[in-house]
Amino acid sequence: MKKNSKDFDEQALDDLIQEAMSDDMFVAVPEGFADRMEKKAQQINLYRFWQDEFLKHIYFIGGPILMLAITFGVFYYFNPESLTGILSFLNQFKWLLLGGIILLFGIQLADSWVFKRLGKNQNT
Amino acid sequence: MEENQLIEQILNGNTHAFRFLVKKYERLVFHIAGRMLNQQADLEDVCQDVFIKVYKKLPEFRREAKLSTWIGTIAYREAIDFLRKRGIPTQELQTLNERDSSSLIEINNPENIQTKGERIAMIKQLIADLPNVYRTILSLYHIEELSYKEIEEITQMPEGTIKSYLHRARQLLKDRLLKHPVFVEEWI
Repeated sequence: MKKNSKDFDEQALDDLIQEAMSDDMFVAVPEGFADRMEKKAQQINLYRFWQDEFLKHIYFIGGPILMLAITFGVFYYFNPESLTGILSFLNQFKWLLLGGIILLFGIQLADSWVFKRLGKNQNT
Repeated sequence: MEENQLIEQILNGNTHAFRFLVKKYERLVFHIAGRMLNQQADLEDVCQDVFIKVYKKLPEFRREAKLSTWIGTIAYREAIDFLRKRGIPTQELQTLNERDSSSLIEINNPENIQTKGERIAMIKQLIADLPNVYRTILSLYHIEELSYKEIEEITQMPEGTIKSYLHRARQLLKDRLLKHPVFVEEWI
């Protein structure tokens, strides 16, 4: 005697679904996908490194500039004449000051570059 | 390699460890995104986005859940976001009951289905024609062999809904298969 549809073999359906879905061709993972993702991760690391370095420069250079601006602001607020005197004094050494700032910036950049090289050597 | 060790190494910037993680979970991610999108085009891009998100968000991963479940959740959400951006409906389920289920799944040339390979191909076609949420839940349950609890975490659907969808998906497949003499003869 034949069974009706209620007696449908559940296990047979399970097996069939399992077999159909486990076939890798159904959803195939492309060749070398993990390698490409590793490269992406390296790019993210590099981006993060330069982002951190950039922020460090901003803090290092922007911090003292901000403090100087505040000092000059306070000076100017209480005694505008004295500020003019300070500015004319600084003006005499402007090239020296400019050279100092460029040197400072150069050291900072060289520092980042050396650290990046060291990091690369450690990975390899 | 143990899961916690793997996470620690990735957090320390070891990209080889990340490659290992991708290898371990790429099948899961492709299954989830593949079932949701039901197409090969764009699938790799979506899966890449999933793993980039995993890499960036790994420091936020609280180790209460399993890593596989957490990655599965990201894959599921990323696939849904992709479908939404393209204006493709993610939930065909509301209207499903109103439609004739047989119209969803049509078998092409059923008289030609003789060999086992042809039968498998037909089942694939039937599964591919199911609504995307049904496909995904079937895949997680049958292929990844995840528990209801894990599927609940990934899809954010209540366990009762998952059981119901799974039952309805199987019922749809069963109904259609039983219309075909090959399967009727074999199983009934």
